Amino acid sequence: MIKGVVLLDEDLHLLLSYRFFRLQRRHKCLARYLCPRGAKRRLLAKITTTGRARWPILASTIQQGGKVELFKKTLDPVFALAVIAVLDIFLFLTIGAWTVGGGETMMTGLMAQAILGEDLKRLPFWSLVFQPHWDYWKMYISLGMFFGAFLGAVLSKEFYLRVPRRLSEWVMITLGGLLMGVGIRLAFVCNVSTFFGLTPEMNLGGYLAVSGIVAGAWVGSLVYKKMLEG
Amino acid sequence: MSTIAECMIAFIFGSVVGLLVQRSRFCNTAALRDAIMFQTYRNTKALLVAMMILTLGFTAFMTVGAGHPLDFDVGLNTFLGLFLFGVGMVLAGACTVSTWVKAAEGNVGAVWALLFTFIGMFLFSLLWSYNQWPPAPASMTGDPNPEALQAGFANARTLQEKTGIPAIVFGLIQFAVLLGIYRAIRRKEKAREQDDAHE
Repeated sequence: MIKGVVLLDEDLHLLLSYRFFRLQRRHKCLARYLCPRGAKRRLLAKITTTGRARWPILASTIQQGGKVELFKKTLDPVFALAVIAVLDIFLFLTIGAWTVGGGETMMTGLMAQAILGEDLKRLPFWSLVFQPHWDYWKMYISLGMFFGAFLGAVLSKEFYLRVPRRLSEWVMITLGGLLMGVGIRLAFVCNVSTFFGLTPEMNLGGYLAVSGIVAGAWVGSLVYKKMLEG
Repeated sequence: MSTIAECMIAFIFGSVVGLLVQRSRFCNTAALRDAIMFQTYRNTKALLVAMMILTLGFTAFMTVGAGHPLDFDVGLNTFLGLFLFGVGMVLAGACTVSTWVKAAEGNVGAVWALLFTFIGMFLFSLLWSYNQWPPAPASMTGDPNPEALQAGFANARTLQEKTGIPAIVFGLIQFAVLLGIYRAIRRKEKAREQDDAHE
């Protein structure tokens, strides 16, 4: 019996749009999200067993419990996040809590400076709020995440090129990226600072941001469902 | 602390986070989206546990005046911005953390999303430069400023300063609320497991 099958995020696009839908048709489920629970699990099991060749990563994510092998089995996210939380408390004590959006903004500024040169200074945002400079610590968290994830992916043999195949996926990703960028700048925070910084500090902004992000995710899910079904 | 030391600590912290997130396949987007779309809570539980630990840690240190809390004004723009962010992250299939992690795994879609996040930020900087809203630094006073649509900021430390009640007390209340949500999710999962067993 396959227990605790985990659907991977990047495969979710593919799975939902192709196999999941077709398999569910075959299993005579009327609507994708109204499927009886048992049937859903059988489908998941089927996807995992049949999808092994095409998506090797899926097979590697079947959790069998027992001891943790860092580069063989998927870690329990609760354990991983607990470790991150403890480290984040140390970071909070030394420089400040974990955020990502600020570092990304600084990277945007540096990239814009590389392209536009001194002309960038004519935009008040880049001279008043964010003056591009290389020694901004938040930027190095993002670069570190990239490095750490690359290391993890290579060591566990999960590094391979994945390219979205359909035009609709490209459109969704492009729109999503733009909305994320605008959203981060409008709010001055991203989801990391919301969940791992502001809310645990009990900042008023944390509660505002959590309600915003939940509302947004809900609307986003509706749009996502529509696009998958249409 | 010197700037270089700060950057190095940040890089090391980021590397550990990247590795752990990659190995655990945690994703913030999935934490919200899967709970909404599929009623599965694998990532949501992890998010709640992290928030519980952080609430206790942060408020405990804020009680004694240690740590570096974020101080900036919030208001309607916080809600609106994160609303757009929420829609965007579901469409892109990744949040700020997982775009980096997925890009490092060789996901071309994530690199594309990241590129357009940068473009989105730059576009907004043009808009900000055009009318300087929100929030122009002058409107950020730390106190409510309705004309500038700013609600000021308040956190466990400022609550402690205003009321004299230690920050950790507020932290414990928030911890209890988060634990309540976590337990509700566990109850739901257990009920489902029993349902499945009966089938």
